[in-house]
Amino acid sequence: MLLEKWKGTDESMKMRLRGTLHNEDESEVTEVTTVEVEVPDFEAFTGSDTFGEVFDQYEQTALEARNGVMKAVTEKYLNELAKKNTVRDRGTSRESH
Amino acid sequence: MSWQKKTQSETEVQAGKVIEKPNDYGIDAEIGRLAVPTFEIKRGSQKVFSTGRDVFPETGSREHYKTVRFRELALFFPCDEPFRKSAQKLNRVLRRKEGQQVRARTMANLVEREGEQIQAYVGKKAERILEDHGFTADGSLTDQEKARSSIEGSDVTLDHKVLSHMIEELNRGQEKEKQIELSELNETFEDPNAVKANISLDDVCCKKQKVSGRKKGSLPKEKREMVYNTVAHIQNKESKTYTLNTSTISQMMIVVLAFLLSNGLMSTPGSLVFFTDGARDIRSAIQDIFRFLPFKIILDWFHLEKKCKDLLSMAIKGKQIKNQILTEVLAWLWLGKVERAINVLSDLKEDTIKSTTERDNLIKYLHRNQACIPCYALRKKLGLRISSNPVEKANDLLVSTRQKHNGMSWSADGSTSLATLTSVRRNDEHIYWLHHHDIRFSFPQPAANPAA
Repeated sequence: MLLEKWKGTDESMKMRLRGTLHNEDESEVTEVTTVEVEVPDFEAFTGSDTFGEVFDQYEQTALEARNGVMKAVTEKYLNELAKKNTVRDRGTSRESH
Repeated sequence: MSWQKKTQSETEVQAGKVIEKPNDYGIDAEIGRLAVPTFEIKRGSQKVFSTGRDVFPETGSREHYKTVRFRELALFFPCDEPFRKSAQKLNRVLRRKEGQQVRARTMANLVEREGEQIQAYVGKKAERILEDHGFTADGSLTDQEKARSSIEGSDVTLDHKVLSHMIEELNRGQEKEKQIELSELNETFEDPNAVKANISLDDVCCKKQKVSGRKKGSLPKEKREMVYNTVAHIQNKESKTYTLNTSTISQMMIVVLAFLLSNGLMSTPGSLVFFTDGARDIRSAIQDIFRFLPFKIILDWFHLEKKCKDLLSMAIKGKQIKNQILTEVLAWLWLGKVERAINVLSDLKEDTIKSTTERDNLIKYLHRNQACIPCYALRKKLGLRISSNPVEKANDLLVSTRQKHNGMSWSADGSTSLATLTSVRRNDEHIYWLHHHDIRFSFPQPAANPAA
């Protein structure tokens, strides 16, 4: 794999994606989620004939990183939601069975 | 990002004049539709650098470069679903907004172009392989010396003791005339563990697209034109399979020969067995290409049975008599005793015959295919194949399931291209093709090989 070749070499570049959830007053709802991945350096694009292959490595990594961040942020979002008792907040009581 | 018309801007640098091009370079990716500014460096009137040529692959004037991930989705969704549904699915998966959506027509063009490229590549690869092994591009053997190392003509047949034992079992309790005599059999029985390959070949057709609509008042054509695809299913002794498709049988035979040579299947001792439905063009194409070594053609039992049923229905008066004769004829054919089956047909009483032409057609058919009719009973007992059903299934998977539905019609290129992409995916060659524009032309790994 091309990515393996770039790992730990001078020819790799890092992409960092940060995902946060915050209120309008900028207070954080969840902690920051950061995903860092290695993507091909500009030097890896040696010509138009290799563009497809190198860009594919970039695209694959970028898509996985994007999905990873979104998954983690959404899980945190739902985790926070699960902690809230939204029913009681609205002033309605639960039925006891 | 929208496509805005920009004005050309110029800057002087040491290497020459840097010109920002008015049109962005378009990329269709799974990430989204991207627009990248492009530049040119000109020294005098000479273009010394161009982003659209030296960094990105060259594309047409309004064409978007399509990334591997995008092509994977856009090319292989239509293998399972109509182009319109595929386009809807693709736009939904990629969350494409209005104005950036992929159109069904674009997908159809993409499939056709890619399919043609694969066909052309396979054709060239086959030519190269043939030349490397001492053949001409059309499959004629020219260099005996070169071919000697890659072709082994010897056959590996089953032991006589095994055959005798099986025949004994089959003959037990049978009338004398229905017993099988080993000495009477003109065929050999290949050792299934030492075959070069079992190759099943067939043609499959779908409706041809009309060039233009019917004019008012014009008479409908008598016969609907069809588009043909030839499909081959190759199975080696380890039961690994590879499926090929071409638009003609002659092309197919060249590709099959190249595949066998490149995978070293011709250099191992053993039989080369072809399974067909009895089509004359397929048989003569096999005989033309593979005349340099012994091979065997087996007529598929299902097709033989069907042919007898169809022709006897037209030849004989009355259902009961027809069924009686059919049973008798098929019983002889199952034992491989073609002459006896022909005698039954020849000795029919005049008052039972509805059409002597059809009866004679069946007799001619049996004469013509006599060499391809084995002793099915013994082959079945020995666990050898008697059917070309793997290619029938391949026909369904490559063509029929997708292309043969009400209201569907195809151009020759469109049909073959779609079948080509489906076969490339079945052979687990699609990702390799998308990355390298190359076909490995070898059996897929067992885990990736779908059941056939």
